[in-house]
Amino acid sequence: MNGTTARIAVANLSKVFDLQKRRKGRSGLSSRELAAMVQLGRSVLRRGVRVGRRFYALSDINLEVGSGEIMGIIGRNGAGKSTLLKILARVLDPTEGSVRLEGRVASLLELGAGFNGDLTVSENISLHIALSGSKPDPDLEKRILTLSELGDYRDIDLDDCPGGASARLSFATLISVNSDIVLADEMLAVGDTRFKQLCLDRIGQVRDEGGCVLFVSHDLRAIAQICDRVMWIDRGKMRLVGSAKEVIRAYEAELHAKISALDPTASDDAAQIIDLRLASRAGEPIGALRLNRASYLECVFQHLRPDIPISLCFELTNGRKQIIYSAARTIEPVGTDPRAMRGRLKIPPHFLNEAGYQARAKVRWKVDNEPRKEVEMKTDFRAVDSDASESVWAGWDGDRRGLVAPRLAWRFGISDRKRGRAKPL
Amino acid sequence: MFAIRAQGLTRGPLNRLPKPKAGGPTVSSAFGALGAIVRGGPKKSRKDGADGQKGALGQDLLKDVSFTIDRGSIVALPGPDLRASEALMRILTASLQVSAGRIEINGSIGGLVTVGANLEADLTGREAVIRERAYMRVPEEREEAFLDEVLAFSGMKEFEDVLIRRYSTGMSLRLGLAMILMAKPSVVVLGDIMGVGDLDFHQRCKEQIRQMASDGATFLLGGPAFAVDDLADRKMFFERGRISSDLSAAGDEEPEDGGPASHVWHVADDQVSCAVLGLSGISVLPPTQSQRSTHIRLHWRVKAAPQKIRLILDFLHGSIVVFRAVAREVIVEELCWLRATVSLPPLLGALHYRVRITCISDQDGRKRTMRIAHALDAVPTAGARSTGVESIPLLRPPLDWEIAPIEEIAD
Repeated sequence: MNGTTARIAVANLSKVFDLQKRRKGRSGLSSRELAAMVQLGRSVLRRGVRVGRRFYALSDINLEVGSGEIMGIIGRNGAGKSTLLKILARVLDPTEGSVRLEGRVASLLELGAGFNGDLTVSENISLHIALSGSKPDPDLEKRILTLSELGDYRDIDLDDCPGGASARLSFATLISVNSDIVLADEMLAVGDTRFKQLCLDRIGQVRDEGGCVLFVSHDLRAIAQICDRVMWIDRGKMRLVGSAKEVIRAYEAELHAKISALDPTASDDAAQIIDLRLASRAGEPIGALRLNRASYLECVFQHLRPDIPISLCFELTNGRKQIIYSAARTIEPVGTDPRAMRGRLKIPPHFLNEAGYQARAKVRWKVDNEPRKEVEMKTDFRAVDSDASESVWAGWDGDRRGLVAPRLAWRFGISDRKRGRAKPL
Repeated sequence: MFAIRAQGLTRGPLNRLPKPKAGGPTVSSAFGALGAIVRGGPKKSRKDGADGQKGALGQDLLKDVSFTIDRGSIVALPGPDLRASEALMRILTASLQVSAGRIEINGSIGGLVTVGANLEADLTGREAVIRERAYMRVPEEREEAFLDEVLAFSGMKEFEDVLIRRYSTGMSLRLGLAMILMAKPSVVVLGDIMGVGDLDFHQRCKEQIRQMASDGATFLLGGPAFAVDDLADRKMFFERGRISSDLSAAGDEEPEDGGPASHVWHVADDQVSCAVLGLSGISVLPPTQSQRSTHIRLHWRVKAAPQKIRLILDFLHGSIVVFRAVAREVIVEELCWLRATVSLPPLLGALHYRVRITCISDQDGRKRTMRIAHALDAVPTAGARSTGVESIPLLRPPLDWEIAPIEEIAD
């Protein structure tokens, strides 16, 4: 640790989610529920993480981040990275342990949260300056307005501003107000190169002023670039803390080892999902999807019992669980040995809208006379409109509605008669 | 010459009074009473919705509807108020009376509003055709020919001696439809039944309908499927018992001044007017084997120039905006016809969607916003197949998949 005082001190932190559903007025179990319970029981035996119907999202986390330090957090989907950040941001309460934060916290977890659509842009800024503990500051307000490019909309209700204004404003505000601790979730993935640079500048500034930054990302390259130290969380437990290089190497090595560790005797499942991630064309994990680039959903799974055909299903839903895409492919067994496989679903450029999405990968199989089984992994990701000039929404100030935002070709023609040839306009 | 003319046609709500209970207790009523005791209260009737009798059931089916349909036209009644279009079809086939107004039909009428309505279960296919012949106003001397034509067209020749009750829905529909088409009435009313037949039969029906229309027969086709079909040359949309838009297929003559769609504008501006722009037609070109895009073409009549026009299409499923397509702003310098075509890549699943068209016209800074909704049923592309999932996604884009063993990737 290169600072003298700890900005963040977390001791013996645990977070337990109660999986017991409050279900009153019904008795008995449907076959589906029964199957779910059997599944749950299996996973308890196999993983030993879930106790009864309680789920340890985090257990016994100890962490100290000192002044002037940038700390990265990595881990697989559902490992507890976001839960940790949410606890630090005081969105969630810890079940056990203590959290001590020294200084003002800026949490860039959910862009747009905490901004009120019924207030004007300037009122929203004033509110957040006040909430950050500072006195009213016209200079700061001006800076935020310039940064968010909302100068023309200063006295207009946020709801009536162009699409994406809320996200831009919250980003600009959170990054500009005085803060000693910055909590950032996939921060660098958001925004274009200019924003990225601003973000890096700000992170550097916070470090120079003796603050600290906690940075969660799937983008290992970005983590390696900016973080001093990295913590690897695995299924709610601290796996490794150390220099960025060392931890990332260990993390990648384990993923590799897991892929090649084909042990059909370890469980009676016909398949096992190792990883589901958003990746670039080259297969590098990325933190968020850029609308103007093709991205890939990659599912690494093992076909452990080649005598049983399995099917891989990719499902894409939006934040409200509305299903956008869902399709499955059957994988016929080849040979007699278990295989590690990779399924890739290409998400074409200019298909999704700027929003949060959830991807699920499911592998299903059926053994004669037994109910169908499936294993599932999910990952949340954001799609960002990072390049304004290439955006589908370029030149449009109104609502950017829609589950998706495909680019459509328009043609216009005019003619002096109702029928007949129209000359292109 | 007109085929159907309606003036101020109004039909009140259907009488749905509960049936009077018959005599003494029966086994089922005893069970019902027992059930009521166990549940601790009388069973709620499913018909008493949240708004009881005063809900949708209490509304007039048709409200002061006037129109004229010319001979030889094919008119689609795609909804969205299907109760209204069905009421109109039932009035035409004399299975429902009008409450007020009048409707004139020029010629004979034949119709099939619901599947299997015309056939008796205890007759064989052959007997059913012979029996219906008289009702269809086919002269007796044509009986043999009529029978042959119907059996040939419906493809039910080999099932002619099978009882109707053993027919599948599709089979009895084919037979019923074939009878109506072969009887060649001057006005044909068909309910939402075309979807039942297979593609081949569907195609044959379409050809027959086109052929008959060119010979002067008039068709009324109900059901949302006809909203996108290219079969109809006129589409009458009903909303809340009234005609909300009456569109002629693109390219047809348009009545003078205002255009047929002029009354469908919901103009945000105080001045309710379509002084600057009129929509004269919407055509949807479904995907074909050679090209997989759906084209939606809008025909506008530009009545004031110069003006800037921006089109926004929202594709909805229920109330969900699935996606929004915003066109660039076009500047029209002179009075003209403007044709806007948007090409939709293969995205849509086989679901019922709606397109909401918003048009923002800017004439020297004076903005007018107009909206119109249009039904759109996605036609599955040729060769489209089930993807093997039970949850229905809102979109079905053909995304690329790649599944390979890991070792091969590493190479």
